Amino acid sequence: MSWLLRRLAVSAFTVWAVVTATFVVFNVLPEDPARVIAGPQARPADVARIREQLGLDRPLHVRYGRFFGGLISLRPPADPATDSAVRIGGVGLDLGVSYLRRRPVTELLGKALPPTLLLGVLALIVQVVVGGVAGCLAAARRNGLLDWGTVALTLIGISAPTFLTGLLLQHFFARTLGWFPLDGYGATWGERLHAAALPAATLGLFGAAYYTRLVRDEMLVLLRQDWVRTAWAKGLPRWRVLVRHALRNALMPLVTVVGLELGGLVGGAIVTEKIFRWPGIGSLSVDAIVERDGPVVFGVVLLLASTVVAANFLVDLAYAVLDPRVRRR
Amino acid sequence: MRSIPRRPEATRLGVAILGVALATVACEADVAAPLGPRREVPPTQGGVLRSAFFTDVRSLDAATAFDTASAVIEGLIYDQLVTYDRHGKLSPQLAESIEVSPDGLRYTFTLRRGVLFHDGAPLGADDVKRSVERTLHPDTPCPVPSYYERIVGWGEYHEGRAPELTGVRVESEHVVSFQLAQPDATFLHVMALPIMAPVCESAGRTWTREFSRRACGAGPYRLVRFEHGDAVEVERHDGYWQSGKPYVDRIVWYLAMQPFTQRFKFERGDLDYIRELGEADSLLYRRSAAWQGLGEWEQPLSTFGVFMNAELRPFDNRHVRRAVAFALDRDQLAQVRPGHVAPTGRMTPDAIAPEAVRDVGQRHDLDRALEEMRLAGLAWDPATRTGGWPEEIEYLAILDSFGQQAGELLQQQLARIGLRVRIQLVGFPTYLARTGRRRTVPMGSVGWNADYPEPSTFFEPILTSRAIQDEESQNASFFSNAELDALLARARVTTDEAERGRLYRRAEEIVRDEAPWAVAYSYRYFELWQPYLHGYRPHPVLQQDVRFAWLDRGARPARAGLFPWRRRSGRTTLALATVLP
Amino acid sequence: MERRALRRFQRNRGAVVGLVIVAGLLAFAAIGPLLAGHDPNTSDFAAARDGLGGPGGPSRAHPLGLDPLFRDLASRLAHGARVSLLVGLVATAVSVSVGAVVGMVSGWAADGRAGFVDSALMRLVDVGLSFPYLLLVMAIGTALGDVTIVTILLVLGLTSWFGTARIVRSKTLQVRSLDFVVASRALGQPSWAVLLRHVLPNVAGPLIVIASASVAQMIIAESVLAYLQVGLPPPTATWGRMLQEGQRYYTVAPRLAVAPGLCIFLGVLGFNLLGEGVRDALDPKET
Repeated sequence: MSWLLRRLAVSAFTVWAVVTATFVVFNVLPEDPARVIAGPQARPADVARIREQLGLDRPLHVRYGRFFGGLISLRPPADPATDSAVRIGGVGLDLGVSYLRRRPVTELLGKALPPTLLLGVLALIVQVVVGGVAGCLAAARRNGLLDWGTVALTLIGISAPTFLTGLLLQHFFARTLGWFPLDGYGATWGERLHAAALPAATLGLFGAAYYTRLVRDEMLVLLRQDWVRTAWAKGLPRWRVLVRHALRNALMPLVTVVGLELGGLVGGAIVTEKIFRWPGIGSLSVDAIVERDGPVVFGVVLLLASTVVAANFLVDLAYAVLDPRVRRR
Repeated sequence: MRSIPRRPEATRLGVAILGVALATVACEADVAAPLGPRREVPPTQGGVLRSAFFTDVRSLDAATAFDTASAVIEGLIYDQLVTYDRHGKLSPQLAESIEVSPDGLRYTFTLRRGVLFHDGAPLGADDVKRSVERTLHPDTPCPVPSYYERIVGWGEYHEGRAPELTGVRVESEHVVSFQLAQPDATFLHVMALPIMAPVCESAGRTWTREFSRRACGAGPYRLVRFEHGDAVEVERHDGYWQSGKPYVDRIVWYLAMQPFTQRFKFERGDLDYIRELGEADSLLYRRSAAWQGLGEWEQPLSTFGVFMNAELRPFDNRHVRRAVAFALDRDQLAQVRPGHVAPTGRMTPDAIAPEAVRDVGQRHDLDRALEEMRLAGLAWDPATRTGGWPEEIEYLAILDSFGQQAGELLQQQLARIGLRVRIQLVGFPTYLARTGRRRTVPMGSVGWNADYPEPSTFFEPILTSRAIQDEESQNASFFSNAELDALLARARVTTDEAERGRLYRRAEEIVRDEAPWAVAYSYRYFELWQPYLHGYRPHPVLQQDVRFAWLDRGARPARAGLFPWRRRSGRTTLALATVLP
Repeated sequence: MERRALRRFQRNRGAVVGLVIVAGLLAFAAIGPLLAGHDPNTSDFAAARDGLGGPGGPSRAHPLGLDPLFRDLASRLAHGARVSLLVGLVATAVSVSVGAVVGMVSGWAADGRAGFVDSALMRLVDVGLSFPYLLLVMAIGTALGDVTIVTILLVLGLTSWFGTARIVRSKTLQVRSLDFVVASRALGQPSWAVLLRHVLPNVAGPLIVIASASVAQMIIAESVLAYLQVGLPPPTATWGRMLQEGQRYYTVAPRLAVAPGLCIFLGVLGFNLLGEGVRDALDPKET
């Protein structure tokens, strides 16, 4: 129990530290969002008014206090019309209002999260299915045509940066062949899945490449073990041995890989979402950074850091449940 | 645990696949044919018009949105009291007539009868006053309230000391007047901005952040959908005051779309009209015989160049500034983006330059540049490559802008007169902060868009001593010239066109000779539309004004369905053939 | 041991291909600029034009043609190779050294009187691993403007050592409890000496494996930064920036995007192959 509490405390600390560091970096950069909001041609007096309206004229510690002070509220909103919090039960989470879009950050994040989740889940499926199947097949047909074909493809997957894969997939499958939409999100679920194919492939391919080799190598070790040979000797079908034992083994490393890769996935998502005009967290954060939309940036960073920390926490928890020794460490 | 591939074939295959993929990219240096025939058809109602922006639209609230993309959509949703006609001249829109008192201090607008807002309410004089007060209210984040500082009572109202803007008076149900404290030759121009558009009372009397999503005015289209980063959709306003107009049922404007995606969608008929073609793509279309008459250059209302900080060495010496202006080879810049970059040596763009200023301007002359360096005491000997200014000079540009490429060429051009330049690329916010700070940036890329189509907008806000501040200076050159200040002040209150022409000519001469900027080019876009789109041409002032375009729906080919490859099998086979050797 | 590893490496054809690619890149970076015979940053407006009046394609004077600013593409690619290789190698060195030092110190301090050092360092690693760097680097990069190669090296090197530190720490923990280490500590050898003499050689294996995989990642990272325009400022030629600038011309002059894209791909592929070869040679689980 104390292990759990300590682990939770560490997680909370990590998120706090990440958000604080971002806040400090953003607020000491020698520039002023007010001028961006007012536009390049706005007159100084008008810029000053906007700065005042946004509270950007206050000292750093006041803004910091206001940001964290307002983050979580237990009271109901004073004025529902200007409230920028999202409420679950009686607890409100308030990330402020976007400077540029003038919408509550929680609302913007709420809108951007489903597309990114869809993309992430699909990419993960691509990674696991493609990686798992390819890895199994490659291992089963070791040194065959299939094996080296797979290995070659994984090498491309690992060596081609996301922006290169994305542009190529878009050009070839969307423009030349016309099988998928060039970009966009779509209104219905059917459209969305159709539109998600290429970005998910872009994002999943890198992971799939990595994962294929993971599975292939695990399998190769596995297939040389006695009990597998015994199973085959007993006349069990080859594919059944492969699927039964392979699949289980293929899913095992996934837990670790997902936890580790979330950060990388985010980096890839930024580029991918930009290329395919996918209205997710990546697009939101790039625009926010370019335009110095502070509240949106802090919101995104808070969300990302929490996700990574939560994923790691769950992985640790899973290990702890499976292996009691971890708890004593 | 993991192993490496044991076979070189694997690597070879990998490279081969990538090569093929790249090769399919490689062999398509041509444009698709226009979709459908071009037929002369009278204006008819119906259809959906689609276009796209590279950027997002920030807001659709008339009071706060001031960026280019927002302004285009606002042009669809709002009508103003006054606007520009096809020749770029001011003309009444929601006003039937405009009367100016002889002293130039009082503007009286008589409104059209029967104008309906999108919510069905009729437009009255009190709506005009309410909308103006909403925009200029102290709590409204309007970016440019000071454009209207000459309206009587502006200060008291904008500071929150008065409950109403006394200079705006409702004379009768359909007559409203604006009283100015001083004459202002630009007043009708600032009244033509969407920021002054009458808005529906039902969308809120005061500013709230919700307004942008319920944007409601008296323009030809009403807002149906606005998703940031995705699309804006507007629908025909049936109660529009010009009967029978507009023609198109719906207009969809996609947001944040990459230029090359725009081109591909345009080729497929997913977009009917585009503006943000890449330079290379626009070249292809301009050369294609099939597309003749379906595209046109827009008229740029902006000027770009290089600012030089007159308070920092070596540019505190006017000879060095003049040397840069002479050394800048504007034709080379134009060759890098043929067509899009139009070289110029003068502040006011062609579209709004009075006749009197047209022959004034800086020009390229390497010998004169070397001579100016000599006069500055920094003589440079091209043969021995000695002399010149000893230190590197920082050149600040916004990343992902043409200012970067211009800087890379300028760097080479200035090396020929003994000035060494180091390029610094920064994001837009940093650029604004640093160029506005006194004694900070010696030189950099600079551009200015006309706030309204009038020459004063290219001098007053950026080159007068009034525009100099320690922070947030709009005058990035920190250039101060008493003669320029005085003659611009005179031009602002002068209504005599010939006199104004003479004053602006002198202003151009001062810029040419004192060189606070090395004026370089104007940047323009090539607009392109499918043959079934009628009634559209680039407007001289209003960007992308598609309000009264119509579609020849019979000529528009049917759209591809969910499985578009079925209809394009020929091409698919070809593409597969390249994959399977 | 070393000899066997070397033999394993030689037998590994993938690794040899990787070595050839890497050697080719090194040669390209070293003598390519001389062979190209043009200054990478000088525009040649007198050169031949393509059919559209833009910068010309491959010719005798310019084997790969000109870039959008009429500069020699081949020469720029060769100079770009220098940047990529330099960044890949040096940033890896920075990252691995910092990770090794932190990991060893942390592992050595664990559970002792200096246990708080270990906790503090590991919390730092936690935070470091949860940080969305790309966002932060973009924010700072677009504000700095004056990015130098040193900035890039530090940014890449100092944001990537956290994982290494964790691995080295656990390895150090293992080594620390080995008999001969315990013995030399008991004999009164100072900590730094034990770390240097006994721990370092034992963590060297994993470090080499990490380092060889990391070079490829660093090359990608540098090209992503350049692609997002927060890398080295122009006119310096880098592959990522060239790809970004060439992309807008890829309907008329695809070579402008394809050439740097292929270079990035080959560079990463070469180091990936080489890295895996090194790992398998040092860690022969499968054979």
